Amino acid sequence: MAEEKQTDYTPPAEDILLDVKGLRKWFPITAGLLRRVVGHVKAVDDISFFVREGETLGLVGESGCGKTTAGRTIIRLYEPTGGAVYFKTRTQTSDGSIKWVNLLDFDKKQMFPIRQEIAMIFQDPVGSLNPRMTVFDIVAEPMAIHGKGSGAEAEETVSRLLERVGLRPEQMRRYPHEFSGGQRQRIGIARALSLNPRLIICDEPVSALDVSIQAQTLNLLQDLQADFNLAYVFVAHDLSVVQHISDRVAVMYVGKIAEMTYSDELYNNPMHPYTEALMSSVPKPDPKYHSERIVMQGDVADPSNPPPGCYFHPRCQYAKEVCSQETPEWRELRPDHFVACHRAEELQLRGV
Amino acid sequence: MTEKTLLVEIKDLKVEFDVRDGIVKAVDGATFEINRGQTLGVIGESGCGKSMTARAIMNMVPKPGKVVSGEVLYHRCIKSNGSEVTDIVNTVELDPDGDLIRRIRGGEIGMIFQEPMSSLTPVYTSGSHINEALFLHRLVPVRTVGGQMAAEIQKYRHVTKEEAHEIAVDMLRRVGIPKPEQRVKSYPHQLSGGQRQRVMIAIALSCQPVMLIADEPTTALDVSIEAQILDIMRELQETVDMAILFITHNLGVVAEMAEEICVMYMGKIVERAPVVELFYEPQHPYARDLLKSIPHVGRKSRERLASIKGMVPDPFNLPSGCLFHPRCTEYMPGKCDRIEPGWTQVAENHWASCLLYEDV
Repeated sequence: MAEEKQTDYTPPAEDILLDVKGLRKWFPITAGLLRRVVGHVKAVDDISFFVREGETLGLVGESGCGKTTAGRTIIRLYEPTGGAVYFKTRTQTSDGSIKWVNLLDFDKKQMFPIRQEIAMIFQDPVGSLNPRMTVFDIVAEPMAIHGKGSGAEAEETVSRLLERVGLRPEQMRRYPHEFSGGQRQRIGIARALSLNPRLIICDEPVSALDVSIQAQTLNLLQDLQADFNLAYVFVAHDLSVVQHISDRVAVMYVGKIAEMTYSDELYNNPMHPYTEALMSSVPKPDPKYHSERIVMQGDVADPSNPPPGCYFHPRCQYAKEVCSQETPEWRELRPDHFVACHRAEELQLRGV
Repeated sequence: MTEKTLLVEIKDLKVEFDVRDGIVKAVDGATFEINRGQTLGVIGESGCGKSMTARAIMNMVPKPGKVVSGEVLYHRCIKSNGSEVTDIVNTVELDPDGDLIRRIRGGEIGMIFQEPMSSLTPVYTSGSHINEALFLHRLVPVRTVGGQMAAEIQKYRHVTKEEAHEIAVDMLRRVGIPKPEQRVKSYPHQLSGGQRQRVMIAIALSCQPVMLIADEPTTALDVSIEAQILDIMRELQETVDMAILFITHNLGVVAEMAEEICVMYMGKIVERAPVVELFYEPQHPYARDLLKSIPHVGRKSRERLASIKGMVPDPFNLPSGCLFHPRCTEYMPGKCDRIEPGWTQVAENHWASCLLYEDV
């Protein structure tokens, strides 16, 4: 057990809230009668990023790229294989002052208070709400678990939260099935807010919603961020949604981050060929817009048996010999613009 | 552009579901037509009736739903004695298990569904899926004269096993599956999501349909695979002259694929226009708000999105007058909540169903 392990970690900047270093999550593949491990699915393989206070970091990529696993490993829903997750916590000291901790050093008991500070919103608004619990029970449950208010006090907090997310407080005795998809997602958001978190991991929060409801939910998330100074890790596959909500975006491909920078910079001046191809594949809602689409050949690499060198090289139109031999380094080529590509400097890539 | 010939006319189609809590009008008076070789996009939010309209065309509305009124006139082209005769069939009146509809369904009108995994049988290979369709629908002339098909040949026969295999391999190659000779023996679980959807397209196109109904064909796929599938569909359409009814909620996809678009809301078609006009000059307030509510890639971020207030009304408790009036920004009290809007032509080839364009 980590006995009051004071992390000798100094954050690179004052306003950083979460700093992920070399995070790894490998799922074992077992075979045979003895369930022997024959290989690993490298769902998340050595990724590093940070989140500032009150900012939104978008994690974007195709299905199976590890974006959801990354989000879940940060709050220890999955046990990480390696790496470090430094978090600026206020719950570890009695006076609420700041202390940096490595979440991966913590055991279950030590993680418990941290869970007040990091909340999660899930993709499926139906599956993530218990159908046998009323809205009040759902939203008040985190408070009950953490011993924050009960009875009339809890009721007041819940009604305040419901009002804040755009639901009527008198609906709190109803059950989830009585609500529409968009309203259920609002219930999930109210639950996430109930313990005043500072970081919310949003796992595809709007992909199950219709466009008009999606816009309402995105606006709500932005309003809440401004009001409570929340930081979001926003996991999604929809590039236009991610660009809309994020300050910075990290593009993932087969368990690694290919590129990370400010949202506008990423979309205007991408430096990784995967980012360029991915953005050109998004169908633009404009019938007059015609651009040369870069169609990536083949399928996403198999994370249990990735190609050598750069994982993207079999689909990359700029690939050279070096790309199939050496793993590209994670470099900061411009201020706050990170990229993992051998040819990032020489390539002139097209944004949108 | 070639001369327009009608292929399918849908007139005042109504599909209702009689469930315990009452009657749900899934499709409520849809009227539109599709020409040969045309791509028509149908957009709308979930539950607006777009999939039901497509199923009604094929006469396969699931129970307890039924077509209560309206007609779907399918202009069937039959070659006989060297000349082409157009036979008009109302598909919704046909016996759903009858001989004729079974020939049309899958044979003359193909369909691709959203979920490729559940639409393929896990115990059959991709080749046998295609063969099944081929044995049922693909007819080849009995004899060919000098390598060319003689126009007067009337006798057709079903394909043989060898021919079917050949066609299946060819179809898989045309939809861009690598190593089709091997893939024809693969089971669905051995294929990736994108490849399964390609197999679906191969099945639908193997019988050379005159129309393809694509119901959210790329919704379950990643953008890079989506781009591949859309490219394949466009390429194939150019080579075989086929009409596509493209149903989706993704405005980006429809902007790329369709020539003309119908916007549906609560079982009704509220606007119909050519694609450029719809995106640049939408007339119905619902279409306008819908287009404003989507984030655009490349547009300046951190702006607020315009959202449509409220939500889709309860199907058992529909608002009076125009169904959209409780959410509408142009709501005219005394009019919109009383009068049901008609179908008004606002420009050439551009119709909307809104009281703004009606003198009442």
